[in-house]
Amino acid sequence: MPNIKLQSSDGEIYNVDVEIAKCSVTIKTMLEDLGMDEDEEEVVPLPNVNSAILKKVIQWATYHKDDPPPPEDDENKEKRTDDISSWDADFLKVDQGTLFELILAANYLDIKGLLDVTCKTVANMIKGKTPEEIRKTFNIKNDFSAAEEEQVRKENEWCEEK
Amino acid sequence: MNHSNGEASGSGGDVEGGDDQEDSSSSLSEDLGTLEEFRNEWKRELEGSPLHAGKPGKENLSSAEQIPHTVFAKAAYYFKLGVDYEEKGKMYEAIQHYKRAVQLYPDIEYHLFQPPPQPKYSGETPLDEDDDKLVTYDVEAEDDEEEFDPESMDLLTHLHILSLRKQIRISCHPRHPSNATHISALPLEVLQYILRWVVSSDLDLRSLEMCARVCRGFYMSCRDQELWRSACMRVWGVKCGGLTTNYCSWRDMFIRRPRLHFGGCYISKTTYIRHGENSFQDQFYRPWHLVEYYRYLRFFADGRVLMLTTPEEPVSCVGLLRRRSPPARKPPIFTGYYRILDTIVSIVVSPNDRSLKHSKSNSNCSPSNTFHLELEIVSRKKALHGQLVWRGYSVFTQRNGVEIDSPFELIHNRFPPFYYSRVKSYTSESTQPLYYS
Repeated sequence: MPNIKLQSSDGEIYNVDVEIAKCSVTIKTMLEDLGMDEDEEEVVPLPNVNSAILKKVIQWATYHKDDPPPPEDDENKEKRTDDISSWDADFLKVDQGTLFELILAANYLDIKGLLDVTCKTVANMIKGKTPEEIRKTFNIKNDFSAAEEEQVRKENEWCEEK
Repeated sequence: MNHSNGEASGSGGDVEGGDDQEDSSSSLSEDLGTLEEFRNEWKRELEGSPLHAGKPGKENLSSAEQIPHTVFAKAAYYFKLGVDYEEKGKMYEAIQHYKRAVQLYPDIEYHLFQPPPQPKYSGETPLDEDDDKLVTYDVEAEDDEEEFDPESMDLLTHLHILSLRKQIRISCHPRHPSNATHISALPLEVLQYILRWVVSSDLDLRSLEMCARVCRGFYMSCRDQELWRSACMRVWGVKCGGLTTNYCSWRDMFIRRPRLHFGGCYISKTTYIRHGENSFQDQFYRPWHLVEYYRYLRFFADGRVLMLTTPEEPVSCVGLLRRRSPPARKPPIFTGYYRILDTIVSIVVSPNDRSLKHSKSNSNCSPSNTFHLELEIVSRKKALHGQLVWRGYSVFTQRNGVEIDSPFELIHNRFPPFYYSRVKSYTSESTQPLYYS
């Protein structure tokens, strides 16, 4: 299998199977556009991803290399429900900062599967919580003025009861 | 129409505001020249336009010696002229003036709805053709932020104005300093995508509304029209229609238009007394039985519905209706599909999914029953669309290819309405994002 060299923002170089690297649409497009030869010693710089995160991303991509391509957004298709596999669940047992960096990397590298599973993890941290609980979870400052906060409360009254 | 726009760079506001003296000397003469040019053109215009001999012109003419000094004031002047023309129905002229105003000051409309700008504020607005050279307002500006007034505008507009004035997008901020990557580092479109996961294909808009209360940045993202439009499309599909005069926004439609709730189940409790037979020994007391049972309806956003009729209390039942494919049990959970037409929900359920699918094509000998319910969505005082009232109920029996329809008589105390109650576990986990539609 031909390999490709990926360089993280802090200068570390990882040797990765081309097929695995291509799960990133960004890298795939780059390779196709540049028409890189397979025996090249060229290094692909990834200035937005540090080595710790790049390592995780490669780990994820390696595990999922045989996954079927992402299904079309077809509403009628019956999909498995709890589809965060236990491997992914373990993989995502990271601190919040790392989780957000993984999202940023998945977004930059355009890896849909990784973006989905990380965004879903964040979404499930939000669901069912009160505003204050969400603030606490994500360390967010309440920057509403009193009048603004009152207004939002009023606007959202329809779902307060129950 | 190339007047003033470009040349008047620097700080035209100095003439008026005077609290920003640095480079006024260099540009003052230039400014005055531009100003003169503007004055003349303006006068020419007033004279040329018959309209301006009329009302709006007169006042302005008398104050002609105090021509607006700043770009902001000029733009405001043109904008107001535009409004005058528009009120008179002269759209062509109105548009010309609006265009001029916007060219001078792109956000003029927002700012005009503000109280008159502070001298400092207008003074700091550089008269520059390049937007990217716009100086952002100094730190003090943050302190004298306009207080939100619900009477004068809606909150979203208010926050938009704030973000325009600060020349930044309103994001969220950490409460405590931290080195870890914060949620505010995510680009807007990623936050939007996360919110689509929060809402999910099960339309948990309640969680979205909770998010909106977190902070300003979240509020703005949560009020995104596309998000609410997608939700409406998922509920009403092709029958959704566009925004009409009935609804002022997609969010408004989602909230007020009759629909079903997916974050819980509808429960109808039937209680009645059935008299028993007297026993031989005791002729004096007539025994009676208190009959009590529940009907549960659980709807899914994809058109499926589960129905369970049982004497068991909600606490022990609602968990069974969490997933689309319910566990096998006795009494069985009926499964089927529903449709909404205006306020009427039509439901077809059968003891199990398989018989429903085959009932039409198969003429097998064993009778198969399907139950048809018609319910009307009704709002209670505080719970919008929180109640389902019986309108029709019948059982279709299929035997040897013949379908027999036997309607039930809807005696009121046997068919009390369903009331919606939220079940937290139903919306605790997202399985699919709300897709764009």
